[in-house]
Amino acid sequence: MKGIVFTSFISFLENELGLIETESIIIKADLNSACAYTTVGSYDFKELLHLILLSSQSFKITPKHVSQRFGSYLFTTLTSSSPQYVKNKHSCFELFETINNVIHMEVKSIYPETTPPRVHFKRISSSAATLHYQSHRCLGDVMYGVIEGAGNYFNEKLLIERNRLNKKGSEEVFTVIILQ
Amino acid sequence: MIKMTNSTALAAKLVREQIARKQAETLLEEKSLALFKANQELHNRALELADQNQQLKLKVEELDHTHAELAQSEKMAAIGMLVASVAHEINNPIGFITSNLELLSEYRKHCDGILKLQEEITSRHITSDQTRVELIQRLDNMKKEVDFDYIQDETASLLEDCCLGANRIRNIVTDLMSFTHAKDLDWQLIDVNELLQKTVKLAFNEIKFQTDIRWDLANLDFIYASGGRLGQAFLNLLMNAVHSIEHDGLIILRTRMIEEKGEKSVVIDISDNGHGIPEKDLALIFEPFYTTKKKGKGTGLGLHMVEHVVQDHSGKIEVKSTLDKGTRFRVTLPYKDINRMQLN
Ligand code: HEM
Ligand SMILES: Nc1ncnc2c1ncn2[C@@H]1O[C@H](COP(=O)(O)OP(=O)(O)OP(=O)(O)O)[C@@H](O)[C@H]1O
Ligand SMILES: [Mg+2]
Repeated sequence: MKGIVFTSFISFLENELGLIETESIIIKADLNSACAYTTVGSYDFKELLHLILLSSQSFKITPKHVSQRFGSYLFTTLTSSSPQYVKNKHSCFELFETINNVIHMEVKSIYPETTPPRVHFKRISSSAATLHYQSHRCLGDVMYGVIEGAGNYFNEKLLIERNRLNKKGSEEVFTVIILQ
Repeated sequence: MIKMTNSTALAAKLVREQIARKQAETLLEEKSLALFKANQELHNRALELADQNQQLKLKVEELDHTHAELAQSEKMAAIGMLVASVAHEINNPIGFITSNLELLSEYRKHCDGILKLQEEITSRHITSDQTRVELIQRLDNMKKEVDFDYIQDETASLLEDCCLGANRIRNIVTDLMSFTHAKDLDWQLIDVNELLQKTVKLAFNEIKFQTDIRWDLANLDFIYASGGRLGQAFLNLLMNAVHSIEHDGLIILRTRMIEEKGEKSVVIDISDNGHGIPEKDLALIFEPFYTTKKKGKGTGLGLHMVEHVVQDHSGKIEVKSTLDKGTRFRVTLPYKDINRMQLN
């Protein structure tokens, strides 16, 4: 998986837990990469799972909730590194509409080694839509957080409902409702 | 496990960042190299492409050249064929004109004695009737000897044949000239009806007596046209009609003025009740050298020339034919373009 997700996670840890705690987790994790991540590199996504698991002890919340909080954080990282995708957009739906056919498609063509998730957007009404998530990494929790991050970014209060289509979680439908 | 302090954490982070930086630098290095190589590859491909392009251009030029050569040799072949058939056409009448002339000079020698004798008889020196009778007797004998009556008949027919032959040669030459004629020389306002009548008069000798000509002419505005060439074209169509007929022939010449989409034209129909043209040959008849006539009888250039002339007048020519029933050639000449021509 693309390095930006990993560097983003490390700075997420530093922000939330502080330097000392972050370095302790890194040492404890004892990973091949020694967590010396760069945004331009690519790394085994299992390292991320491992780091989430370890840090959940420090956070004193479940890995699921760590993933969700990270997702929110990841959204801000992604949008500040690629601001062109949120420019001139006024609602998270406008952004979601472009994930599959614009954002992740461009990511894939610039970095052929990546495999971004398929995120199929379907509008139900002006304030309701579904996001059909498909990824072999089963990062639905991160996905949930990214959606929340988008809501925050556009100042929209979102109601998010998840519906797993299989046990593994490689396919999920997120129903998103904008409350105000 | 070492106790993590702020400074050890910072040091650890520093080490991590340094490793990351090395990694990033190596990656950058690799990517730069790859980029350089890709660029070089691209450059090479561009050169290759330019080379291929150049070769293609040369090939196209070569092809153009071959094409021009082919066209030229085709033209030469066409000219060769034309020359051969024209030579043949001209040789025929020249052949019998020459042998006729030889015979004629032979006859003239025979007649020399007779003429001299006749002169003597009519001259005033001879006074005695006796001598005159004697001389007349000799003249009669001499006439019998050389078969003078026969020679007289024969001479007339030989001369007539010579005239016909010379006429035929003149026609061939005019035909040929009509291909190369300076096109703009004889453009003038002409009456198509009158031109048709002149054409028929010109060809009357050749129109068999069993062929009737029926006229169906409308009042026509004068048209700006190349009279000589148009006349040649009509003559060709007329002769084709005549040649298609074996007996009880009827040729109808019809003219009309029509107006289509605001464009005025004159329509000339030349119809015959001759043997007609098989449908499969209709596409061929305008081709140069296409002829179904016996060797030496037709050049096959007639209709080709007609088409040329009609096109020069911005007109069109159409043909309708039913086997064993007859054929109709329809020439349509627009006034509009002709008026524009007049302005030039
Ligand atoms: C600002 C625009 C965005 C950019 C530049 C971006 C780019 C990326 C990149 C580079 C990855 C890593 C893919 C890999 O290495 O295979 C990724 C993964 C991901 N993206 Fe996006 N993305 C954007 C917006 C979104 C949005 C709006 C959503 C969801 C609402 C989303 C959902 C995800 C998820 C869930 C992943 C994790 C990988 C996975 O689940 O397989 N992204 N994205
Ligand atoms: N009115 C017609 N009826 C039947 N066949 C015709 C008629 N007009 C033309 N054709 C056919 O088209 C052929 C080509 O005609 P074209 O006038 O070009 O040449 P040609 O008459 O054979 O020879 P040329 O006119 O040079 O003496 C003729 O040989 C004949 O087969
Ligand atoms: Mg002819």
